[in-house]
Amino acid sequence: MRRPIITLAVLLLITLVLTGCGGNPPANTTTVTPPVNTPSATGPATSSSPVSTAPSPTTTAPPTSTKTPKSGGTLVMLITMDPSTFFPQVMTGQTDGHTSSVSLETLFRFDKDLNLIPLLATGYQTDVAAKTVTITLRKGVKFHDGSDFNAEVCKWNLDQFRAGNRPELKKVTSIDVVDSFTVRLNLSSFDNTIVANLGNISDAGRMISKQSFEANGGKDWAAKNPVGTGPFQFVSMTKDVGVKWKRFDGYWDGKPYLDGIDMRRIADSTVALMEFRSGNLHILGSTASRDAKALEQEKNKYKIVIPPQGQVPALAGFAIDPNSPFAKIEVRRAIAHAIDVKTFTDSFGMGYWRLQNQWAVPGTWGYNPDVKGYPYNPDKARELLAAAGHTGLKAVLNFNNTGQSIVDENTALQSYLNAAGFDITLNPLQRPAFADMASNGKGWSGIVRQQGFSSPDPLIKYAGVISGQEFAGTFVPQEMVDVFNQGISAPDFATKQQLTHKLMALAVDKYCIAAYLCVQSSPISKLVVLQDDEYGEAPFGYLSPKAWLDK
Amino acid sequence: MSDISNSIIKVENNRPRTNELRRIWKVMFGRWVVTGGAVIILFVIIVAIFAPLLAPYDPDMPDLKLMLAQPSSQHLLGTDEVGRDVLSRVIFGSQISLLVGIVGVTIAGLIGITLGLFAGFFGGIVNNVIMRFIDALLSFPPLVLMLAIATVLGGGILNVLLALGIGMMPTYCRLMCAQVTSLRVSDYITASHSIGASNTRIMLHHLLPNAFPPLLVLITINLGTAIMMEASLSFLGIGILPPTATWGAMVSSGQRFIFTNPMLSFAPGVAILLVVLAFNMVGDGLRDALDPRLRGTL
Repeated sequence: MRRPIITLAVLLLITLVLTGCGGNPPANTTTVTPPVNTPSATGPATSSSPVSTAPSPTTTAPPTSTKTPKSGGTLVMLITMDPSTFFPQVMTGQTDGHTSSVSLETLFRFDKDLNLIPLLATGYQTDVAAKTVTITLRKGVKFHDGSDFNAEVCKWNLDQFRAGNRPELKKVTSIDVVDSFTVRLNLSSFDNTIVANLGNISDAGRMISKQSFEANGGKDWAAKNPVGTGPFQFVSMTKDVGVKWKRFDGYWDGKPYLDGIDMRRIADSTVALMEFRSGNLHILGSTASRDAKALEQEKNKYKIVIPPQGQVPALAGFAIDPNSPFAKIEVRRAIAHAIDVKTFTDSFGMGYWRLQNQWAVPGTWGYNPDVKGYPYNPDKARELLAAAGHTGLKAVLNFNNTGQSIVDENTALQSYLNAAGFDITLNPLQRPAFADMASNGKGWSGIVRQQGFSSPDPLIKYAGVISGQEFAGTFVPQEMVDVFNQGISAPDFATKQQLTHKLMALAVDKYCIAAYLCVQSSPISKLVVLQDDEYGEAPFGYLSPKAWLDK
Repeated sequence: MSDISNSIIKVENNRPRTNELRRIWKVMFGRWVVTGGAVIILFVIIVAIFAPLLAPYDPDMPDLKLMLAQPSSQHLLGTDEVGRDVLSRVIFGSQISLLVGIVGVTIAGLIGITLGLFAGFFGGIVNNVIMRFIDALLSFPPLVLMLAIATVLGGGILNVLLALGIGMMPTYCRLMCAQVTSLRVSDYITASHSIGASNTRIMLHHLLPNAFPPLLVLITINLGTAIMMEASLSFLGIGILPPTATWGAMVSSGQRFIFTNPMLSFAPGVAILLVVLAFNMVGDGLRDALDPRLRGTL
């Protein structure tokens, strides 16, 4: 009797050990966690002087699916707003760029790991001393109208963009055509963010057909008729209905699998969700965290991916006015200490958002892990307010009222601030009024909720703040301006990274110009039948030309 | 004052007002729907007055650890998307609804009735100027007009009240003008002129009281309309500023969770439905009671 028991115990022990060594079975999850990239993996958007290592010529990531792609079918995806224009010079906001990116390609783009990789370019070289960026272009690329993409067309496009006085190419003084497939950008002062701005982070590097533009009357026509080099060519756009695209058989990277793309405009998120659940939309796009959690339960139907980027909300007190209470650093620090960012992030983000205490996103090369930030401590916030001579400090929290979700979030922030000794009134503003306040700097006071989209290169974002293009009126001390200027003119990546880290520390720990809360990476919902699309995994609305429908 | 005017006042004072009021009361509350409407209004008024005592929780205090809780013994109607007690917000929402109803209609009534009285009494160019302005306002649907006003002025309760007042004012003006235009040729008005009564006296003492009954009906019905309009403005996100509890804003914010937490929209929606219905029923009863053509038939 004793022997069988021992044998059984030994067998059980062996089974347990084997089970333990075997690890967990492969998780059948469709959630893609945000990429964590190291500086060496990511690399800066610039290269060392005088000649850089050109980026890899690979443009399309290998298919992630093990299935054989099938041709045919129309991809149906949601857009919540009509694009306002297809002419790159006047494009604003995400909708214009994201909608047109299937047709109007950029010179470079960012991949899933936020590496800058070539698209219509094949590489670039920088020369710090000569203050130039030389870009080599892809050969054999044709626009949808049959005209060739070459250096002359590229220069024309970049000149068109510069004519709009856009900040992205402000430092470009002239553009030379070196040969048929090489252009050189001459800069007023060296700026290592220029090449990143020619990626899909911006519309500066978006190429349209010069031939169609000139043959059809110019800007007004181009604003409604995108003619690019992308895998899909424009069919029609109907206001409040959507945009239709069809396959471009002459695409330089091979014929796309999909017959076309139907971008359907549905403004109401509940209706859009119902359409998605009914299978009438392949891509729902940004999904409310709670809805994404529910969809995630049905892995056989839906896949949820988390974009590497996201919105970075921050609360900034009006500190450039010396008479404002927010000119005192104690008051600004009190704001940061007053908010329980962990509960806020966990409750609203439901696991999709990440904690953040600075402008750079955790896991990217610009993120400074040594930034201490301001842990939740309402008592400390009250002490700081009292030290600054304020109790029950009345202030308005201004924000862009983009929807009920942001009202909810600010309601929670209001209660945190009030509990810490502030007396906050919410001031939801419609988009034009907020734009006047935040971008044009027309007299905001109190606290403003800044809601910017994180950038693979944090210096690009700070360029907007320092130049007053974004969040005008934000307090930016001279020390930060100096470090920023050194950062964008740094000749090598290591120096740039070091200076970027310093900038993060100054902004948060030394000056507390804003209380950074989290990274709001809105989960992207897709039907599982959609394969190899990269949508949501790569940033800035990129849709792979290799996408196909498995049905 | 002359003997004739004294005798007119004496005759007016000797009218059998008590019997008339009793008849109005009887006709109004003879129908159960009107009585039911009045009971609902009374109930909402009591709830609004005693909201701080009745509400189990602070209606504006979020609890992020209790977001979107289903109805339970702690939270009878559950919690909303930031963890606030829905029942408490519905209770406090009654204050805003009654406030906008009463104050909004008062603003509309004061401006509209005054302008209508002037236009109807003086006629001519005064009538033309006032009524063409009113026609211009009437060319906009009321909600569109209120949306425009609220968008220009911004959110906040004062601006919403102003928007409601201006938006609803034209109907009062037009009705008052029509009433006064027909009454000013009456014998007793002519008589008042003859005995030297001032224009102010005629307008305030003779025309206003006699033109008022149909306006009273309009006011009662408009109380419900004002509540509905405020709910519409709040639903569209340009009404009263958050986090103040309003029924319209609650319906709007709750619609995102209609499949998982229907109570968020359903509870304030039912409150709006009942109050608007109640005011309409009472207004309907009042109209029947005051309509001289129905006298003796009801």
